Amino acid sequence: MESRRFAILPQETFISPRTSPHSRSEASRIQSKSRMYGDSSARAEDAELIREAQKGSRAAFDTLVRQYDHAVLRLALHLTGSEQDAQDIHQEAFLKAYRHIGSFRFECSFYTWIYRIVTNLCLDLLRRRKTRREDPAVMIDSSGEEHDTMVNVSDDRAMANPARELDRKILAEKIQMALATLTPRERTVFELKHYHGLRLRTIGEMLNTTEETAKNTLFRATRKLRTQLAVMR
Amino acid sequence: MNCEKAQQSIVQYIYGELSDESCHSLEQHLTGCEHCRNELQSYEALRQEMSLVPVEEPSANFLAQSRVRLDDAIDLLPPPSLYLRFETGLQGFLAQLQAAPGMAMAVAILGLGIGAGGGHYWKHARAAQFATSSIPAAAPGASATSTATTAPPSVFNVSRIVQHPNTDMVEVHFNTMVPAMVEGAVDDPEVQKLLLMAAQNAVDPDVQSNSVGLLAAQCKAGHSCGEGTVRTALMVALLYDRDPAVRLKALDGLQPYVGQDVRVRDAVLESLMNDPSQPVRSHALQMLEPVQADSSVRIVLQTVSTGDDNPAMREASLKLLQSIPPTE
Repeated sequence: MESRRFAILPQETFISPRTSPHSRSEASRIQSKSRMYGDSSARAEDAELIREAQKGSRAAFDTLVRQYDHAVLRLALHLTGSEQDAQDIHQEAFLKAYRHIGSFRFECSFYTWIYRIVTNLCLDLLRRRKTRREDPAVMIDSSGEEHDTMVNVSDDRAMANPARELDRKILAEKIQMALATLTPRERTVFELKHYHGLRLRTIGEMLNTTEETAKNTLFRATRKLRTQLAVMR
Repeated sequence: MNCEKAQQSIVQYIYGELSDESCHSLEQHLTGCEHCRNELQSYEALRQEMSLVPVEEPSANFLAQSRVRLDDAIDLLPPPSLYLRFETGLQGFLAQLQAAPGMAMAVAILGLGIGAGGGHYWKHARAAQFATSSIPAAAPGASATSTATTAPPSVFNVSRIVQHPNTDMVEVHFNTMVPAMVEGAVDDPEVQKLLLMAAQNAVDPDVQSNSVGLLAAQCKAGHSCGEGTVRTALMVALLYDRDPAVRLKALDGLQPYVGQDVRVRDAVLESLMNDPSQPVRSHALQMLEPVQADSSVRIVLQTVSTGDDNPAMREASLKLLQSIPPTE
């Protein structure tokens, strides 16, 4: 009897699993959240790094970037559906942070600050798309090739269960179409709440509005989505 | 809790945003109300359905690539200490030094001369680029006659210091600058390279102002601004030049790009918020018209319209804000 062995490769190896193991994403999400929700030691560490960066330490700034760039890229990628756009937003956001680190006043955490920047950049992008009527259901990767959004599964899985794959594809498209009926603001609020688990109060801060407004926006978004998905069934 | 309140609370409940007390009220209501139970179920089903397409982790390659791109981009920017606006005093002086190596080295050499406590003399080799000088490293307080010949032309940097063993003699090797000139069209790449350098680091402010003006005129006419280096130089001039007239010229040159380049837009916003000169701020405000719908622009306009010291600025920003409603 033949037994197969699968080697588990260290994370530094550059293969690209499109969906990483659940545990890694959870761990990084938990880590990001602890920094955001003011886990005091994490926040104190950040404060020290920020002060160093303000004095001109590039190493300190780079360390700060490393704490959050994964989360930033994840958010931008999921919200925009385009690798190219996500990368541009990632770059834009951290460059802004670099330029303005001198005026950071420690009134909020660095996480909130950077997220506010990223969120607003994503919002701007979504608004520009609406006016240009770009098709959100098609994703463009960094080499310029088009892929169907949110359908990034290795071939093995696709071949293993083609019927399931087709269902998933159809569902993914439905969801994209439903999301496209939301206004950019509604879509952003929904994304932050549903896919990234941020609290409404934080979402409000990031969009420069009140928790109440964020709550109402979420309500409108979910109502619209429910209607859309029911119609498409 | 009645049905109306319950309906409003259901979405919050599902996303864990309801207070404990309200959760309790809602649950109480649900036990007795089928309609609301169905509502809850349908939202719960929505939540599950939307979750069927999960958030994906960026691939390791993608993350690495993004990091490299960012690193490269940051390398092109001036260091953050220079971003503290229009600093005066020691920090400003130090910043100037950082930007002018020749001057820095001249100061250092002067220091070396003074610190050595006494005489030194310059010796010029006939070869144009290199000169060596012998400095007797006299003990502090010892007097020595100073036989100074003519000092060398502007020192550019010091390349090497050699101590002669068992003596007080030291060799300092340094490079001097040789004045030169080039003549050509403004959009000639060689000329442009020099203009770019002049825009940040000219011997005197008039030269600096002149070069920014020339580059701005190029940019405004749409020539050779696509590359980005000229654009960047104008942005740096806009944000850091000490002369408001120069900043105004730079602003003017960037006008065609406010709408297309977010970096330009942001530099203009920065200028609107923090420039000490009123005419510069007003011009910056006018230039924001093509991007007035952008969220970051609106945030800045709001801040200026409510919190600015200058009433004319407050009014002008408010007018701009009101002239176009928010997109939703």
